[in-house]
Amino acid sequence: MLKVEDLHAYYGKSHVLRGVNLHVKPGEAVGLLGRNGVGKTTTMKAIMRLMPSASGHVTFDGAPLDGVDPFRVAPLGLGIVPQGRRLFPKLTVYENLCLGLAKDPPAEGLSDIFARFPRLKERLTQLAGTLSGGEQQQLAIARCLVMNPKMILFDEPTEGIMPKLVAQIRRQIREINKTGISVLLVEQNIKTAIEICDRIYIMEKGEICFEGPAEALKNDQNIVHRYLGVALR
Amino acid sequence: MYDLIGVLLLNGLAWGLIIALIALGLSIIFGLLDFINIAHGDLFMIGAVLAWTTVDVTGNFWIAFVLVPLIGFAAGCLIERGVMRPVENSPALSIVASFGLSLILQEGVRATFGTTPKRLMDPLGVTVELFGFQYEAYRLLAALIAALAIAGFFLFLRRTKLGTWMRAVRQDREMAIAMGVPADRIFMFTFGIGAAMAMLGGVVAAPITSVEFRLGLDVLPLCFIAVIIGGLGNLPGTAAAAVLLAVMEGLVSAFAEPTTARIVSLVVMSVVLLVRPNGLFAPARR
Repeated sequence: MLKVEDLHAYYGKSHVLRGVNLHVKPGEAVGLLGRNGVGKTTTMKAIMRLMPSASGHVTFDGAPLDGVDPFRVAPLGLGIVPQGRRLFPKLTVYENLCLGLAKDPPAEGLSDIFARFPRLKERLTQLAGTLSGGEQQQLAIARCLVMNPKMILFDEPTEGIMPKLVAQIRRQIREINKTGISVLLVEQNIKTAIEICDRIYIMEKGEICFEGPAEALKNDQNIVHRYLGVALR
Repeated sequence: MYDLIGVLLLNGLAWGLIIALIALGLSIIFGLLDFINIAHGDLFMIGAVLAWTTVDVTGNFWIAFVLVPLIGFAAGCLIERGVMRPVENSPALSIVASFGLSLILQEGVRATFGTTPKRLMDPLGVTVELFGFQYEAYRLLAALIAALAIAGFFLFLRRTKLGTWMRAVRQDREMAIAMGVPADRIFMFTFGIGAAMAMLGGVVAAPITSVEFRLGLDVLPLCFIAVIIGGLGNLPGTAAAAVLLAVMEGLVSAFAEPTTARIVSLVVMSVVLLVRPNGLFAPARR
């Protein structure tokens, strides 16, 4: 579904991605872990073509994304739920939800979304900036689903969310994955990643330094400790 | 005495709505693109000149209402590509680039249209009796057209997909692109709309002012003051401030020099900047 080959990128002079290689098979959920500042978010942005990559290739759904206009990536079926949610605070919930659609759908066209996120239906005319953190995350996921993506990139979806709601968001991502949508999940929270993902990559200094099934991480404390510097509780 | 004030208020209102139309164009271009368009007043002037030319060539003033905004939109798109795009993300350079454009537009008109101020005939040629005065009906129509254009602009911004996209790009350009919004085209379109609004303002104003190449010089400061008093990026605030300013300047200039009226505007702006730096209509600071 997604294939990233030898991806390099720079912020000014600093070489932040130093040859990233990863792939996600159709329907698969893959985690991308790593400490702060190793290039996880940059990898996502480079995949979405939101920042220029110096070299390397990204292939999505069999077609190269290299040289594609950034705004044409989402309509190909590649959505992103970005870090910090990045809603449009002064647009209404409804406007946020339908932003990526060329035409606003009739109300029944959104019934799937409302079945999954009933809270949003009650708040359609409210400004997105007035939603609670949990509701904002729901909206960030929902506005991505509205565009019928084949794959979604999640960038730290449980960051800054009340612990009570973290389990709910994990469950939602798993359910989305079960409908056949591939997932690439960037996480700081290893537990979330292990619970959602089939396979895990770990990044260090702009490169992938570990690849293996999520189970392996669960069973091998050494990997977790060596690359992430934390103990898995 | 009260009759005179009534007429002055009406004049101020008509002029204020025209200024609001122009200032809104200035504000969306600045708000979306961080482009400080010094040539915006000259686009207004070009609108008035084209209105005069339309009457000169076709003998029909009303054609200008359709034709000139279309020309304005096309010109705005060209300016975005040719003048704005090369200095993208640098408000300071945008001042230099648009100042250059301003000189080109003014001197271009001076070279072709001439330096003599020209007056258009009152296109309606009808007066109505108001407050005991014979009042040009066209001024009322001008106010109405400007008000309708402003209302149309806000409806467009609130009710259409393109308008929603314009607001989204303004709030978070990168995310808008990630959602599939063609931000580059939105920029061009925004500049086109802004220029079309300024030129439409020029057409509306042409019969109630004298048409000449320096027309924009007087209008631009008033627009900037309206944008600042209304609050940067606060579009309804900008429109309201423009009307208030024009009415105020109209009243003051009835009793004093026009220069004094402009001084009053500047003093009001300074006070607003000191007391409410986010604009007269901004909510109290959080």
